[in-house]
Amino acid sequence: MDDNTVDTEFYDLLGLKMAGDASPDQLARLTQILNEHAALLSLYNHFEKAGPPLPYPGEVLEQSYASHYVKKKLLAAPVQHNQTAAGSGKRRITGLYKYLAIAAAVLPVLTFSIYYLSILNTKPKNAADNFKNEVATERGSKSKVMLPDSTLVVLNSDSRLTYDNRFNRHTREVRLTGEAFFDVKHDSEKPFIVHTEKTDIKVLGTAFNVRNYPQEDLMETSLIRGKIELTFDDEKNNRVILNPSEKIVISKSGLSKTDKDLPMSWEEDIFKLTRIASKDSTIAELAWLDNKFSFVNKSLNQIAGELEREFKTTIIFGNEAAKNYKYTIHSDNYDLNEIMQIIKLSKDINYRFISKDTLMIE
Amino acid sequence: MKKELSDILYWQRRIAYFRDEKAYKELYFHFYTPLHRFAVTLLGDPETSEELVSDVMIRIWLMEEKLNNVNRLDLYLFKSVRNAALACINENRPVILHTGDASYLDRAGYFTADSKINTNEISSCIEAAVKRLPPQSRLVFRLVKDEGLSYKEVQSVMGISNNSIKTHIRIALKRIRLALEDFTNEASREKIK
Repeated sequence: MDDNTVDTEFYDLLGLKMAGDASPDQLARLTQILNEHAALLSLYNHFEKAGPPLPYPGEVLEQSYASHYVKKKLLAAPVQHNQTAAGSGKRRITGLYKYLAIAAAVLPVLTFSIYYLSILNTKPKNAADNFKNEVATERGSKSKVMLPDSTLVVLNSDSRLTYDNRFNRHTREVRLTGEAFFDVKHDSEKPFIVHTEKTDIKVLGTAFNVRNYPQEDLMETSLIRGKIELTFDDEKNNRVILNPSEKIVISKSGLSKTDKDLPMSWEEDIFKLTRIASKDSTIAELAWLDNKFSFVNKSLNQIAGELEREFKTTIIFGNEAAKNYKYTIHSDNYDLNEIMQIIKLSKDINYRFISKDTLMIE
Repeated sequence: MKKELSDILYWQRRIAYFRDEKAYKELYFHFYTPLHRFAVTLLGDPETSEELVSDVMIRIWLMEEKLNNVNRLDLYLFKSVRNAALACINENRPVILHTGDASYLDRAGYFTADSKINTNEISSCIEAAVKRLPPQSRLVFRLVKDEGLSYKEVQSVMGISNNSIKTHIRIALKRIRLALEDFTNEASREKIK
């Protein structure tokens, strides 16, 4: 038998062996060939020793699943509103957006809608304000939008996202007030930048959550996947790079106070770099996407702010000290009474409704 | 990497009938590595591949009870990834080669053909040879060698005949062997010098 035929036979047998298809006879023949043809041995040995490659390490799988989980939630369950969004005609766009976003596989339609709605929603024009297109939510409602570049954004209640016509030309820049989750379409040519009044967040393709309510001093950025860079609106152009599962909390008032002539002070009261608080498969920072509540060591004052937004309620404190009580709460139920019950159970406070939408804590 | 088919079937039923998140997570964890590896073989770019695998997995969830009509979920997943990857290539998207932090791919024995042997040079020589293979041969070779799929299973995933698989495997093994011999010859010549 000439060498060429033997080679071919050898390849066929080795292939069958790797696939687990080889019969005992075929395996015996393979051994025989190897004994007679030493030249084939090194290739065979290599594959024998190598074996199948290892699965990816656990943290890679965890991370991939975390971002997958979020994406699945976004696509599988449209954001629901337990409270019907009342409000003026102009503001009712949020509900409309919800449906548009669901039907938004057709991109041109959506792009058109955003533009159209932005005309409806025109505000008094500010010459410096180029951010013409606006998506806004009122208290008690959320909205899911797909931007022209296929980036998915979920806006939490009482939040506003604006961008101008140059979006997706050379860069993708948006401005955010409030809280939003971004799943940015990967495009290394056009950086995606989120502007807030104190920082710019630059990303290439990633999933992250930004919380920047004007009523709250602390601004939070949590990264789920990818890499993002925060630059501060100061003369030094200070920057921080965030790695997955990291979260940075910035005190906006602390930032303003910082002496511009001194190097940026990395004190606890201005910056805090922490890990994302995850419990089982839910991530506290993203609980709102699911209409769940998850507070990790938050003061009652912060929690009240959140509840006010979610349930369109005003919360009054009869007892100032109660504002600083700290709570860690996970609740799957989107129900104000239920959450208040949990709060009541863990510390000695009481609450009552003094009107339909005003709640008193004492 | 092979798992008992009964386990996969169990997850499939749990997801279809009970929308079981835990079963879904286990399914994801089990299949992420092979599917991602498979997608990278076609696309080259780990990030695009991750997105692609994620999309395929979401479809599994969205199928609800229809998921029960799938005969072999493992093969179905490979097939879906293959189709999605081909569609992605047809969109004329530029294929980016290995950007970003993908060091875990190395550790998982992806870019180096095997991590257990420390003769890294030989491994990367073989890996380079695999990368130079025609796409079809490369895919068939990966499925057989890395995922241990039988020829019958590869037939179903790739939609090609048994004879084509044989041919692809021959091409792959022959080229790898030549690359290996070149490498060894080169090395011994170096030594003589």
